Amino acid sequence: MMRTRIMAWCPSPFISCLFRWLLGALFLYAGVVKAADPHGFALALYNYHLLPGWMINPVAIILPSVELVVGASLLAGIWTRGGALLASVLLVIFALALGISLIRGFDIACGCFSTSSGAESITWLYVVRDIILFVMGVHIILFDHRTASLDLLLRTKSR
Amino acid sequence: MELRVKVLDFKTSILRLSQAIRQGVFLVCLGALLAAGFNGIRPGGLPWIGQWSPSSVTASYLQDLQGISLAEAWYLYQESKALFLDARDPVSFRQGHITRALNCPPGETETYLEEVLTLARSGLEVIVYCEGVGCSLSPELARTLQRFGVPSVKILEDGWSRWLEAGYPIGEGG
Repeated sequence: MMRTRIMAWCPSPFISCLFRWLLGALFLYAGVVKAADPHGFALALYNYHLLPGWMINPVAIILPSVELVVGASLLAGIWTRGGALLASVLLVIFALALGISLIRGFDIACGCFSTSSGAESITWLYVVRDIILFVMGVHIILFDHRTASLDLLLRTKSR
Repeated sequence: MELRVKVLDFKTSILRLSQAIRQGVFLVCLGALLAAGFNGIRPGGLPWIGQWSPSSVTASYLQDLQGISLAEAWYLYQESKALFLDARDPVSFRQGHITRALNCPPGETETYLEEVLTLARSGLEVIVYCEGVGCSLSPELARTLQRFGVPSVKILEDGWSRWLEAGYPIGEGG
């Protein structure tokens, strides 16, 4: 009975749409903050000590724009599955980077929604947050019904 | 019948996933193109290749202050010729710090200034550190100490994270 209720709730178009807007808004915001201060974001990346030096600037240049594109895709509901897949992959990478840094004992700023080096230090709560957002991304890939989306609008017009 | 539904579900999932991968690749390419264009036209865009060695990064943000490499700091530590000052907040300090370091947050100078001045005048090299590059606490502390007459203050390149990574001695608690 309980299982049936959960199964009925999971593919709900409303839930999937809500997750899409939430993830979209978060990615858009994160992308804008990072794109506004690429130097600060590059420094935040450097402080993780995970990337070789030659990769820091290319990642600091490209990642904010990818986040912006993912955010726009999810908010507008166009190429939604691609946007959700990309968001999920990025969230796994972010969670891994945070987890590794926490295990190594680093007391660094996240660089997630702020590029200031004086921002609050990372904790395991950040990893939990990314895992929850990852679950939302997977939910969108599996159950999105194109509710209130450009995908649906374009499909209806082309018919 | 049930088996057929399961096979169909599986096929649908695979189709959705392959569609998601195609769209995802397209979105990455679109993002990369936008990034290259935007970075090219904006004033003060990042160069594609940057200098990210500890000494070059430290030099770029220290300005008038003097840095000290991890190797030099480690040598002075072993010779007991250095006084390490941790500029981070007390909570971070209690979680882990360089052994024998004093916790000296820049805003609480009056609580430790006298002790630091005495130790510095006894010939110890004063080395301040905070988390890593870009952390503004150690330059702030170094400038404050210099203003109060501490003769020579150096900033540890890459700070606490690099010391920890090197596996050098650390302490916990107050």
